[in-house]
Amino acid sequence: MISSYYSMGLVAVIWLVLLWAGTRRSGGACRRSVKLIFGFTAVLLLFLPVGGLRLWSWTFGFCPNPSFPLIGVVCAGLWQRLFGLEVFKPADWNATWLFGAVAGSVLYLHPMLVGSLDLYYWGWEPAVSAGGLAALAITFQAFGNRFGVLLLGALLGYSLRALESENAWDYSLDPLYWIVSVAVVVGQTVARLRAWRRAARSRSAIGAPA
Amino acid sequence: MELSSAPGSAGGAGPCAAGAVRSVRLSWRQRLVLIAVTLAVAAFAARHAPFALVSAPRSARAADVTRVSPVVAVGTEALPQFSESWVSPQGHVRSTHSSAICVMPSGELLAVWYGGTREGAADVALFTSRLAAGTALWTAPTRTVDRIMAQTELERSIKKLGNAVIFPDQTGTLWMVYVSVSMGGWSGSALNVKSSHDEGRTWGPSRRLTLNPFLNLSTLVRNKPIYTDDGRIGLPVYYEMAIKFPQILWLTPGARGSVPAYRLRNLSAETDLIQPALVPLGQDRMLMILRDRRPHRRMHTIYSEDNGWSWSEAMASELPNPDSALDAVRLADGRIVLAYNHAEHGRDNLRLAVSADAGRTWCAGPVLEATAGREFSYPYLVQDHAGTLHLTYTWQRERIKHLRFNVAWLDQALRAERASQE
Repeated sequence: MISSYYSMGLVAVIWLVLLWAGTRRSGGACRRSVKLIFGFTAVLLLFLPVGGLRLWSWTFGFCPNPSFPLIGVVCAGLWQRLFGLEVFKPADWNATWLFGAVAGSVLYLHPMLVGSLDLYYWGWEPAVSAGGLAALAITFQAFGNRFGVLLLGALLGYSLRALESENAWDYSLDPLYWIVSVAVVVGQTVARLRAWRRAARSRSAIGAPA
Repeated sequence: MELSSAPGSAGGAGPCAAGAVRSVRLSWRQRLVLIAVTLAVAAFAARHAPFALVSAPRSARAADVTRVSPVVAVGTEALPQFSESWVSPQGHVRSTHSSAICVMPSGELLAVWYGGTREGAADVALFTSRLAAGTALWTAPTRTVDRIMAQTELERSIKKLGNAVIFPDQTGTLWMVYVSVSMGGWSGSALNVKSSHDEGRTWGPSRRLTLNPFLNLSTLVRNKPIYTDDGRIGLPVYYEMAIKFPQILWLTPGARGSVPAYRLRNLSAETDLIQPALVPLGQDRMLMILRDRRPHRRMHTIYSEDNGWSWSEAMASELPNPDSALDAVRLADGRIVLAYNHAEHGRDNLRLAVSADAGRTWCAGPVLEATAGREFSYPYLVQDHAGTLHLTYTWQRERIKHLRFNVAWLDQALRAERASQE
């Protein structure tokens, strides 16, 4: 069993190295065909059996319901790095991280604060959950934000039951997406606070008497 | 992949002029198309709801024991009957625990339990054994699910297996719901379901149920379900990570072993009460009896007036509970029989108690096992078509024991217990 974990770790490292090598140089330094070979090899490695299970199944076992925004973020990020095409604009990224941080915090933390409330339950009620997801998606789309497309993907996935889960919220959120979103939002907030302080200090320095 | 660096740090759109800002957004035509598609998909998704599991069931009952006519010889109904046998043979594995039993439509009994080197070991498997109606000898254990089988069927890493329950649905299909763990201890559990169309001789593949938002962790099962007239099954389960509380998994069995609809309902804000046992009381009333993990160690009860959909606050009962599983059934005369460990600490005795007032007060019943320092735990109690009660439990973690007794024996034991107390 331990050897299975070690070999899984080794393959996972190779996979990450391949991904990193394929996407490292986003300029013209690395030819597109080379990048594609790296990408395909990385995908093929996911099907390599390790300890009786494919590498993908090991990953899937620990994160069984990757949300559509997470899949979209990975695809948009890789596409941007591999081909240099900007799929998501800054406002789209901000909306993606803000939604993940806020909605994830509410869904995962609310039982600790309001024990009698169970928001996850309503994800099994299609009229409520599909309506809620559609309302959110339309709001983002009406403002021209591409994150609305990811929510539409989540809604489509839910209507086709594309994931293992029968709960609509699992199509729009997952713990990994939530944790990354919280980290990004906190990081951005700290960076903005620092910039604001620097600006305030420089203003006061200019205004101070010589 | 540095997902957060370039995309995430791109929040400053400051230098963009008004025209540039407009250009990075979706065009109005794109917005309208997307909104139309979203509305269409939402309408499709909302229509997709296959079953209405959104309201309280109209009626609920225990397993259907009236399908087969009672096979009791004339004149023997009032004779006390008691017998004991072993479900698992001696030494078939080093450690066994957590048995469950069900009466199948044919009248046979099927038992399931887990066994291996020790609880939580990688070699632990789920075993089944059957007892034909009218016989006294259980068949040799069949290895029904082991870690590798579960890993293959579920296509994911499985570290260990745990509690399992088995029950037939209204069509005669037999269901098994079992615990598996992919990471961590028992609080990392998830539930899986299998079905059998030949009363447990062969089983279909396992299917994972997604019941929790955070990596689907920490739902466990221990006790038998209730049945409703609209076809749904209410299976008592519980949550164990950080905060522990009881829940009910409502599921609607489908054709060919599918579970087309299921959802989990939390019961109350009470915590540290787990392993709920459900007892339908009739007229939409339901009793839930709970294992106590709190320091004062009392068995707790909760009532429902709408067939298990919503529940009152938990009340401590007069009976102790040493943080151990218990089980109960309701007899035809309305009394409730409880199997439990009568102690605040330790599981070294196993006893019956009877309540004539829907679980509010209890009369002490016969002591079934009592040996200091030993373990007799995890009772599972069912009543067969003939009205005979069957109790299986963990016997010193070495074997699964089966007691068979009728109501006449129980009444006789209750009278003797009362006399000894006087």
